This record gives sequence, structure tokens and C-alpha cells, in this order.
Amino acid sequence: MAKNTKVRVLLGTRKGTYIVESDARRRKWKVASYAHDGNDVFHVSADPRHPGTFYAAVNNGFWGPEVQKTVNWGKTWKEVATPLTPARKDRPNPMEQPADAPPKAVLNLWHIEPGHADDPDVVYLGAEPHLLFRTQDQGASWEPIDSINHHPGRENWSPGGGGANLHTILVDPRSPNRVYVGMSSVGTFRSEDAGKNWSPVNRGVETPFQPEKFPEIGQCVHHVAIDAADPDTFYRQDHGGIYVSHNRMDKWTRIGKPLGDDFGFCVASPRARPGRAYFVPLASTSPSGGMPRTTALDGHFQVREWNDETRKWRKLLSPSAFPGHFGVQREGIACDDLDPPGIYVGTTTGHLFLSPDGGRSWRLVPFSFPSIHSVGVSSPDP
Amino acid sequence: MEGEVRVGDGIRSWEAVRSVPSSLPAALKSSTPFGPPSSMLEVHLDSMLRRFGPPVATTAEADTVEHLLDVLETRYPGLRFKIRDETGALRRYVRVFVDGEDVSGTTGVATPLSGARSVDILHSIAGG
Repeated sequence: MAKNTKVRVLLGTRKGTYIVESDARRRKWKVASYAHDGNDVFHVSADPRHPGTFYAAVNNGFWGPEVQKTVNWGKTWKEVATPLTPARKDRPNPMEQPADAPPKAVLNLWHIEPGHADDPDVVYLGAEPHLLFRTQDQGASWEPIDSINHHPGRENWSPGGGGANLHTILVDPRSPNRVYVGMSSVGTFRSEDAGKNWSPVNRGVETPFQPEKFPEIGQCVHHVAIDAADPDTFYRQDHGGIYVSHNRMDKWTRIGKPLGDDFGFCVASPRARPGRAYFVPLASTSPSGGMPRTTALDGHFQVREWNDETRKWRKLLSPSAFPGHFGVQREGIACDDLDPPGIYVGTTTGHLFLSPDGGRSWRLVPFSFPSIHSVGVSSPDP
Repeated sequence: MEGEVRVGDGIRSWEAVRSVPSSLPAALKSSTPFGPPSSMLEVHLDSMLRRFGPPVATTAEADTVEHLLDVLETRYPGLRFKIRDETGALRRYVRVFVDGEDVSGTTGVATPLSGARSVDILHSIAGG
């Protein structure tokens, strides 16, 4: 197989999937292809174990969710099996499910995560309402993870503002058995046995929106990134602020307080820069009070860099660079694997910002996309 | 596996749609299946659904709308999941018309087709 020399940015948008590509210098970009016209695409992810394979979480307003897959870098796509709410073995009729059964149908697909390098056919999928699936045959069939989908406490799980989403899935690169998930208004859970059992891991994360400030579950995690060089370290954008954990999520420490407003949705940590994490600040409240704005803090596009060694924050853009009321969703930032890392941010206004040099300089791809839900990256071969 | 319906390259079992909803009127539950077979129906799908089903109108024999969807599923695997979700409910924007009457919000998939001549399966307008 020819060596892949391209960087491809995979955009899931309000109206389809877009693939934007460049070479490793990342100066000139073009929209290479688009697919799934008119469909809400919540996430598009590259499977680095199978070059050229991407998965798309397509949510069609008319005929429901679909998993779409390409094996040729996005030239053609095909629907593969779609995960469905599992009927309990003892109650095959979903209309007769007991209270602890997963409710109703799969509403939306939120996140598709390739499994461990040692399990090249395994892919995880997070869905709404608070559902987890796994394929062991690259999407030809999906098995429900009952330990989440029938979790004894799930009758108390409630949706967040964006729904009851299982939107974060992380696999420890050292062990296929250690898997983490994040769910809106529920929090983060860890499994040490490949999904058979799960423990909530939210200690230290505050819930400012409910009476109990540090409950075991109920945190509204927005997204979490794993540090590729130190997989015990995680960076978390929560509804209640920005946190770091250095012990597999056993304990979280808030690092966002010096920022004042540390609200936002997305986070990414580049492979080439251990100990760094990037966040896009959004305004948690309107200046006049009332509803959360959830658009760019202080009226301009900004990316904040956290340095976990110096424990200091740095703003990467001048306030005058890109003024505007941009929104960025939970999957809205990603990094490539190059050094210096490319950082890519897609906005709800359809802008794709990128830095080809680890945040030193920023540019805007000269194409107006539909509102961007998610940003993923397929990196060139090393 | 018996009772398994496959969509695309395979989905999980979906037996429940064959069950009789408890809310079905007693008269409709009097026999299984629901009375004598109907005559041949003309079935129309809107343009969006033709991607998954017949490209033009087709004909089928069925006793109820639910039965019709089962029949179409055997010909066009995956079509039913585009019309109903896995609990058996019609999807939000799907409308089923029997001889021109919208039954989606009334008798729904339990609607008997005995004596009916046509079924239209359409999507309501939604967008933005």
C-alpha cells in the first residue's frame, strides 16, 4: 500500500460529512469530498488501525440513525449495521421492558471510537439515550454493553441540555481492558475488564447546578481527552469547569479557576506534545444574566493551552484575530499526530480554524461549511 | 437465526414488532392473523424512501399495515427500520395513508387492510 502523506480533517456537520485535506506542511487545504447530504452527522472518526477507514455517526431526521463507513478515505460510503436498543434476553419484547431496561429506541449516535491496537476489529459506539455498543467485526454487527445499558442506577440518570448522550469513549493504549466513558449529566465511568463492570470516577468534580456539590455521579461532563504519553492523565471540560486527573480519573483537580469563566465543551491533547491540552472558552452566562450564551467568550475566537508541567495557561490568539460569536461543540476540536501538532477547531457558524504549528499561528479555511458538530483527524503515516 | 431480520450487513433480533400491541381493539385481536387475507394492495413510497425500497409503486398482500411492512421487509431488507424504530413505533415524520386516509396517529400499524386498495408511506415535511 502506498504511503499516506495527507492530513485529512473529518467534519461532521448539520448537513453532511466533509473531508478537508492537505499535505504534511498543512498550508494549502481543499475540500476533497463530502457525503451524507442533508444529514446530521454528529461524529466522524478515523480508524488508524485500518488506513482509509472512517466511521460516521449519521442521524437522519426522517429514517433514524445510521452508521456509515468508508474504506477508501471517504471516496465512497456504505451503511453498515446500526446498533439498536437491545431487548433483554428474558423479555424479548421491548414494549414489555422493565424500568431498568434501556428506554425506547436509539435516538442518536454520538461517538464512534476505534478500539485498542491489539483488537483491530473492535470499535465502540456511544449513543442516546445513554447507550454503549461494541462491534468485534468492524461494524458488521453491534453488541450492546448491558453493564451500561442496564446499569442498576440508570433510572436516576437524566439528560443534559443536548440530550442523554454517551459522547466520550477512551481506551487505555496500554490495555484493551481499561475503557472510560463519559455521559451528559451522569459523569465519567471506568471499566477495568473490557466493559463487564463500571465504576463512577468523578471524585472532585463539582456540580454547581444541583444541591449536592460533589455527588458520586450526576456531573455533566462535556468531553475528556487522554494524554497519549501518560495514559493515566486526563483533561476534562465539564459543565462546571476544567479539570485534570493524574490517576486514571480516580481524583480530579480543577485547573480552570484562574481563568474566571472556564466553561466550554471541547478538549484535545496532541500526541506530539505530552502534557498539553487545548480548550475553547465559551461564555457560560450572558452579560445581562439569564440564559447561558455558550458562544465565544469575550466575543472572539480563542484557544487556551494548558501546560501540565508548568501548570500554567496560555492564550493562543489575539482578541483581534477572529472576532465573532462562534460556538464550538463537544467534538469541535482535534489535533493531528505531527510535530508540531496541527490543531483544528470547527464552529457552529461553519468555520474551520486551524493552526499548523502547535498554536503559534492560526488561519481560517476559506470555505463556509454547515454548522460543524465534530472534528476528527486522519494523520499521515509516520 | 429464526426471527432475525438483517439490515445492511446485519442487526440484532427484532422479534417484538410481530407482537400484538396491548392497546389494540378487541375486535382486531379476534383472530391471528387478523382475519382473511386482503386483496392485492398498491403500495407507494415517497421519493426519499425509494432509496431503501421499490423504485416505483409495488403490490403486496397483507392483513395489516404491520404485516405489510413485514412483507416489504422480506423484499427490501432494511426498509422497515427506516419506517419504524426498534420498538415498533413509526418514526416521527412517517405518515401512513390507507386509501388516502392518514392512520399514523390513530390505528397506526395495527390498521387492518381488509378491503383496502392502496397504501401510501410518506414523510411529512420537516426541514431547516
